[in-house]
Amino acid sequence: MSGGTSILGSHISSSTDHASTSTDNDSTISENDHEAIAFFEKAIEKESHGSMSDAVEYYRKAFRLNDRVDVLYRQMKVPHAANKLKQEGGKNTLKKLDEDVIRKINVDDLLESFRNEEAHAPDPNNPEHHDDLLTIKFANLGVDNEEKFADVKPVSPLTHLPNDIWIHILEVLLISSPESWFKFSITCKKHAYLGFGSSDIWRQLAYLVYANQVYEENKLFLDNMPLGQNIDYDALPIPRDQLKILPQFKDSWKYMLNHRPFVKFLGCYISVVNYYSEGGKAEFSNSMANPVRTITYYRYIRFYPDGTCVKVLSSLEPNRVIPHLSKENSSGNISGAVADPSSQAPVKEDHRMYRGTWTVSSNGEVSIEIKNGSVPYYNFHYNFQIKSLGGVFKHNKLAWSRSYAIRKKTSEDDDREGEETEFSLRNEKPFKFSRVRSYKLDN
Amino acid sequence: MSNPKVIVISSDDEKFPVDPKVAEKSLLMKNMINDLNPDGLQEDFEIPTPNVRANVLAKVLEWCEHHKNTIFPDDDDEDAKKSAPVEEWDKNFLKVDQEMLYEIMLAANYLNIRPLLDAGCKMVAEMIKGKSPEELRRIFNIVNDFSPEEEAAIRRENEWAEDR
Amino acid sequence: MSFPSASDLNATWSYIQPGLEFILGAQGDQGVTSKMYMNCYTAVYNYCVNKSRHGATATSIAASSENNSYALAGAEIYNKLDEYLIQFIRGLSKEANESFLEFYVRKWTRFTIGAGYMNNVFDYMNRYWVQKERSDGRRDVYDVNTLSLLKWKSEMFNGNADTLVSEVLTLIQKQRDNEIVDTSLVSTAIKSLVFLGIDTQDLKKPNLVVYINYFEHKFLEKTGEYYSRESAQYLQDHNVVDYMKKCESRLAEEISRSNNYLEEHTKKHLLDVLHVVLIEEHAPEMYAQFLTLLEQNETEHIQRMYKLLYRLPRTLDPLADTLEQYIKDQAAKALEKIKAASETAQSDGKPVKRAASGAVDPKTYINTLISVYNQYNDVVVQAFSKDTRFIKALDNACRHFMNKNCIATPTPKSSCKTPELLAKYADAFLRGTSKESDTVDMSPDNLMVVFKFLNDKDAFEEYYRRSLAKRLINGNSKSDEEEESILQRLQEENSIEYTSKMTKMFSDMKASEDLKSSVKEHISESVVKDFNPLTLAQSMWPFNHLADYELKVAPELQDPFDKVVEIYGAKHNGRQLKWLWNHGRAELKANLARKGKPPFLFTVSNVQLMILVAFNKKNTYTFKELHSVVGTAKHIFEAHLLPFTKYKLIDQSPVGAEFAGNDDTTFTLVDEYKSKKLRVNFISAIKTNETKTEEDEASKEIDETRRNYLSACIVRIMKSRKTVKHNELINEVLPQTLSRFQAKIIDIKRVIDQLIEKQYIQRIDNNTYEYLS
Repeated sequence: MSGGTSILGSHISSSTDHASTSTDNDSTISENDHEAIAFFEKAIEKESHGSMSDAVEYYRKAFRLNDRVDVLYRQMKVPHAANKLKQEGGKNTLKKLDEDVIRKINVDDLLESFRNEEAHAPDPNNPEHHDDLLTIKFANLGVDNEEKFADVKPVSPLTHLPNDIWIHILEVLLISSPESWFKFSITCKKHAYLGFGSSDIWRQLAYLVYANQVYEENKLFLDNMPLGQNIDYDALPIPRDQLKILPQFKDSWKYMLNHRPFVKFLGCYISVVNYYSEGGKAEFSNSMANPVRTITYYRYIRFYPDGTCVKVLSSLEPNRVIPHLSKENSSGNISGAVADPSSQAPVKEDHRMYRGTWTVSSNGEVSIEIKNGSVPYYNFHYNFQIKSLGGVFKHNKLAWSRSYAIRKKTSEDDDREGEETEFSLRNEKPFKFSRVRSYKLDN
Repeated sequence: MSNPKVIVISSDDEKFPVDPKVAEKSLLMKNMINDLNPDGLQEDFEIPTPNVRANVLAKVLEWCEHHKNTIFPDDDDEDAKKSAPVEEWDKNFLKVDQEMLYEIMLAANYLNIRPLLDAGCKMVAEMIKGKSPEELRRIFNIVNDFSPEEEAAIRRENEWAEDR
Repeated sequence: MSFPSASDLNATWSYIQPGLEFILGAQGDQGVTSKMYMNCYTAVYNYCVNKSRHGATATSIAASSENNSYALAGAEIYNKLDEYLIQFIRGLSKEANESFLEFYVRKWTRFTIGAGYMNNVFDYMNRYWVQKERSDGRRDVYDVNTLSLLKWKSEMFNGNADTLVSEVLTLIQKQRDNEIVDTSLVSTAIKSLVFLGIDTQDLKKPNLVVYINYFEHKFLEKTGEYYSRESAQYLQDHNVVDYMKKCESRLAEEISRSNNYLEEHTKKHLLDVLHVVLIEEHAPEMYAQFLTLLEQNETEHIQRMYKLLYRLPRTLDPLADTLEQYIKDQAAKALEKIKAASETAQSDGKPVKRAASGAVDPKTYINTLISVYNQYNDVVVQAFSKDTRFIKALDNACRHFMNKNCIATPTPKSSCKTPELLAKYADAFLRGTSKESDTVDMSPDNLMVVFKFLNDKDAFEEYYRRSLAKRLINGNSKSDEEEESILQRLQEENSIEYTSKMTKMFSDMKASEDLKSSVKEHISESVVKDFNPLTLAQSMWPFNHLADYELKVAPELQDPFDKVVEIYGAKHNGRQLKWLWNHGRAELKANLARKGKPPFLFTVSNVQLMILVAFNKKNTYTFKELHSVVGTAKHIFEAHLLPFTKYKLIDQSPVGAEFAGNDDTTFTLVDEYKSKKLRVNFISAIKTNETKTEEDEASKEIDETRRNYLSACIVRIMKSRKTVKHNELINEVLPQTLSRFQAKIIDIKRVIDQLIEKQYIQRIDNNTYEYLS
């Protein structure tokens, strides 16, 4: 289930605890193979962060210990991980999927067909439910498969709350724990209908998202307003009342969310850049023919609804940077993350964090300005276009469109003030959004 | 006549005489008292609640009695209200089995007691938070009735929206 | 009675409908019970909650092909209610004996109460379904109360709006005609129009569109017609004063009606209509009456008219214009009258000595100006509440008649006499020699009133200064305090520069007091008993040193004169002193009386003093001898000698005016002067043409001062602007002169030409000047 894995991959928790570090207590394999698998997992982790050169190093180490480490890994680890996934996700996890069938499904119609679905309690006499029973057995009873389920419990009475109230509960979740909204709504057809099929949810989401955007058009409008005049919010080019915009999106909140770009706040945008440096060969390489070195660094941007943003350019990996990436981090650097002594990438950046301001236009062009950047006499400007990642992850990508700087006034009679310097985008890679659960709108 | 009471009558005909102030925590009862007594309450006033059984009504009126002097803000900032935590007394009050929680929420909805309904909704939301789908199915004792393809399609179309 | 199946729409509806009948009053006055109320609520609740739980499964309505199907949960019962309301309202019928308005108000009153109940009975649907639909942008779904009002509007109001409004307007007209009407019908019907104005986009926004379109427009139209008719009719049978009273009471009635049952929005428009119909359209009648009221001095009615017209301020302008013209006319008449009176008096009495233009007594003239001013100032204060429009009219009129009238400007080109007459008026009450009874009705206040309106304030300064100078050197001011207080007021009214010369004159007088006492110490042993020298700054005082008067001081009198020069010179080194022999006078004791009689006291001029002192040496002189002793030009000498021969103090030989100036004619002092009076003044009999000269001098001085003022003004402007166009220059100069005089353009041009000649400025093209530094 490719969709499923990539979803997990895109979620980086600030307290990522990689299962690989605690080794399996299966004693049928040797110490050496344990070590090989550990390197192999480390390599996968590096690869998932885009740190290619590190990944390559770990893969080499792993294969050097056991040249069939990949097979070993699949035998030892994957079934366990799959079981774990299945325990969290349910019977459909890791099932072989018929992509043709999926493609033919119109989700809106499907959800609509769930309108009158009831939630059902597991029925031991229905072989369809055996997967669920199995799971329940694993989780709760710990007894074997042969156990009889004579005592069938009904569904929770809460399931019978009127939909009006359920919508209310889902709105609470949407605000305080969006993951939980999704996880609840994917539990069954009835809940999917409630959580994904009702306009109330999408309306709520639209207000949560768009009311917090800092629109370029509105900023221009407000900047051009005479001082002291009261702001007429109804006159803004992009009104605050989302209902006024709804007709432009087929009167559908869901359609609006799918097609109207927005900047996300509850996480950060990361761009991973690998480039090859001609220089001394890598330390662990014994090949004479490898004079090129891969260097990996990361760009991080986090946005706030008040129109500010913070930006970091660092070779440090996400899980070292993300906990410190905050406008409330007054130290202005992210060196709270101690450099990994084993990291092979030279630390090229002083880990400084820069503050800037941002706007987004109604068609999804993001403009960032950093007035106090790494070069004192420059105002840095970065322009991006919001795009969707692979067509599924809506508005999850920031594609570079321009990077330039404008010279500041450095002295009274500075005739170079206003000069523009264009930076090449050749080595730049797009940013991808990563949800960070500890992030709030203003912390 | 001094201090007329509102007598709330449960579906099983149990009578609960309460202070009008207590009854008026229910917007339904408040509206009815005003509509049918345009000159103010002159004598005891009976309100039948055909949808609420005595055991539930007693519980709901206990809540109203406790909050009779609480002033709940108007629906100005819905979002802030939805994200505010449940106050401690309400939390303890609602630590009941799922059956009773269900009944209280239903009654609060029926009698239009918004703050009580809100608290109930937040309690249910707390039950859901941080749980995996499979855990949730266990909590609500429900089965996953999707086909693998249905589930995949729905995931693909909606899961992105939890990022914002 | 058990509840219907929550999934059965029709059963649910059948269950609640009887309750709704009660709620909406279809069952007469039977009350709604709490059980009924609660049952209806519960049935609606059960139905909606069931929908909410189960979607649209059990219903027979085949609308599930619509996409947004969640919406159907509430829609079915909402549509039922919609239909029911239509049927209910259509079913309402009028009693045979009631008017449509009575029917409408009766049903509306009951219906709106019911709609309020119903809104609460359907609260569950409002709370979830309606709320959701509106949040998703549907603008054709409403809460039940609003839905009820909209149904009332479409089913009851729209088809009957004209009947309803015309019945309301009929009642209002009856009330205007002083019939007793049930105003609650009017106010309830009008309020209903306000409630029916619903903005379907934003239900919370107040909206008067129904009220304005259906009622207000027609109401204003009818109001206009009604009062147009009434006012025309009324004026046919009544006078304007009665009409104005009628207007006042009609306006008060309409305002109270508007407050009682119209929307605030209407008030302004209503007043606009009333003001046009009642006031503006009949303003010409009022203007015509205004003159009569002014003539009869009917302040109360003038005030009434003012207050009425003030409601429409643009109607006041013609009134102010009328007042201005009326004041001008009245002033002209009053002045013609006093002019005629004085001419008659003069032609009746003694032969006229002086020019007719000066004939009117300054006091009569100024008091006439003041009385016109006072009369209309009272009108402006009392009737027009000091409205600036009318203050301006009074000011304009005063400025006109005080500067331009048959006495001040007998011919259009003559320069205005008012400044001179005003200065004389002031002199009359400031001079100590005037009789108390003559000055009792003269005052500095009057002086200041006229002064304020004078165009040629500089001319007044010139004349006033001249008379002040005489009062000072002759020591006959009535009161120094009063003199100074007037000076102070002139300065406040105009400027410190305006009074600077006069202020200097006062300080000269004070300085002279000191000089006098120092001189007095030195002249104790002399024939001169008292000596009062005055030192006067040349350019401040209106006196000129005249060579013709240069006389020879008799040796025995020489000493005090020398002392003055010595003491003054010691104090103020380098200042030049010139004796003004033509001013000042002497008193001398003459021992020419019979034995035993006291000596005579003669008041004489300086020249005459020298003549008489010469006779101390010998009794007889030839003309030539005496002239050479005294000095001065011959005609001066002759003029001053003449009073002595005329009053027989000196005998002339040979006798006869034709010999008076011959060199060898002899003059002999009489031994004994035969006069009944002990005090004899020989000055007043001196015949010179000085009075005339003085007037010429004054006007010459005024002209010169003006030229200087203009050139200073022009130079100042040119200096700061460097180059200026001709017209701009003129336009800048003119207002700067206004506090002193009204400059004529020709004068400015003349001054410009002089400045060009003196090379202060030059012409750089036809109409531009440049400053030359």
